Amino acid sequence: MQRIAGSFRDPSGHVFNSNDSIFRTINPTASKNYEAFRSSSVVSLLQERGDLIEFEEVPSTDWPEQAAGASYLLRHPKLPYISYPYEWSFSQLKSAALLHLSIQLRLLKDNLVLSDASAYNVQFIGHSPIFIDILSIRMYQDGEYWGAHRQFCEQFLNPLLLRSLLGVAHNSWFRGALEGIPTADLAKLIPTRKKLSIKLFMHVLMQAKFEQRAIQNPDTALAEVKSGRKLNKAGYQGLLQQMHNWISRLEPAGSKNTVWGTYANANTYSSDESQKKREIIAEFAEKHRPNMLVDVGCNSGDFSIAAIKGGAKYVVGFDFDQTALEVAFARSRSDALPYLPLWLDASNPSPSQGWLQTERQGFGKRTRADAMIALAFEHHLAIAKNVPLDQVLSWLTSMAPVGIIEFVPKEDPTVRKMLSLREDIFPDYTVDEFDNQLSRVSKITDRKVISSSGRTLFFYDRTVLQ
Amino acid sequence: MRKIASFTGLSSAYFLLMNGSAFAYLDPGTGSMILQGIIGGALTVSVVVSGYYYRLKGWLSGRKNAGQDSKDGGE
Repeated sequence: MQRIAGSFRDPSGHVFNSNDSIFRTINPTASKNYEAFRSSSVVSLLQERGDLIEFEEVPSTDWPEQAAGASYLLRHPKLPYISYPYEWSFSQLKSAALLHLSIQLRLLKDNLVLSDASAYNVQFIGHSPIFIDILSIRMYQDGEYWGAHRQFCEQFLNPLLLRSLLGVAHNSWFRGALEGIPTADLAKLIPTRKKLSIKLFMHVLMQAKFEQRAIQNPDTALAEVKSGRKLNKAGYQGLLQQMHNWISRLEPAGSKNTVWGTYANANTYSSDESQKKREIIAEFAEKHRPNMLVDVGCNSGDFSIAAIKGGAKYVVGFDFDQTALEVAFARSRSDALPYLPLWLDASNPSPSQGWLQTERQGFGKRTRADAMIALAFEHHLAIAKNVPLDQVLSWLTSMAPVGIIEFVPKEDPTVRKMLSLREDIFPDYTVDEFDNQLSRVSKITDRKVISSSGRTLFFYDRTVLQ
Repeated sequence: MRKIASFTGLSSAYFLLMNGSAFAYLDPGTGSMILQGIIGGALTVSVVVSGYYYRLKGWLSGRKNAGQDSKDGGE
């Protein structure tokens, strides 16, 4: 049982990782809050909805030594893949925000609240967001403020507004700031014509102003908070409900035509070839039956879905294009698929970062699958980003023991377009060199030419001795 | 109605605010708490009014439990 580095902040308990479960200690200081929650009707309600992670208490006779001194030890099921808010699309962040608020609203009915509003406390199982932090549920105290309002704004509301008002995706900024987008920063970016919205005025502009004033005159601000009017329960509920209504109506601005948005329909090989490729992926998934398959460059999810139909139990897809991810997530949601599409800049994947650079794990540490596919993808690294082929292939094959990687030759219209305005500095970018480099890191078990331009699917297997 | 109620309270508060920046050791949520102290009253009014509205709507449509416990938070 190994302690998870990201759980250092909460003195109420810690989280541990074992082979097949996650364990959570509850320290004596938090036991009353846990007991109040455990005995409320809200537990079963939230679990039936699939909104709250399952948990069971481990009898103290079975406790490992790391749990010594705790009041309770809980066992949670392990989630298929841990993702972070800076890897989510707009719709995923929005659905996580709405889950947080609907849980808060329901808890409040039973005189319980969430003590924080960390977006990292929400995870996804396929298309469904799920709340994972039992320890942030505590008893409501009469007159208390929504203590996590600032954090909620920074981690949910502001990133959504950034996209909704300004058309800027939250991912890069959130990844850099890690705790979300500061309200004071967002306030500076809001165009004057948008400032007339009451909710924007309250939650962004006024909050930023009050924050600024508090920094200038901290003693006055503290006195004001301490002597100020308390927020009664109806006001608390009103605040949550107002936020819920607002967020549920937010949509991305100008999201109809991103660079790759129409790529799945307008790609450069015929639909017969695409159909053939789907069949090949489904057969591959049927043969290997992976518990986890990763689809690097998943676009709008065509081949991820083909893999699920073929027998992959869970698929995590990665793509750079926001619109493609929105389409993929919408498909996963409408067909209730075990499919989680995530944002990834493959030339700069999520790093290990945060406190001690272990708080949030990097892409490489989290991404280990039973099988992988990377279709119409490698040229985006090898040509567009000048990454040497051998590095592209060792990176891709490191994710799973078996997989399929598509090679897109220079003769293909896509690569020709990529090279049309730049010097061709890739004399070694050939199918033979690709074959040669892939053979150095794995055994090539099959090759299938799938287009008239010479696109080829390479099947590799790292488990076979060469 | 709700918008007008919040706007009246907020617009007066807005003009009292000052500009400038400095660093200080302070709970970062202080600004949010001052905000909540000010808008809390208006939100309470809105919850009470919307409560009556839903009750009236329920009564008119003959549904006693309109607006209860929906997953999307429409409570």
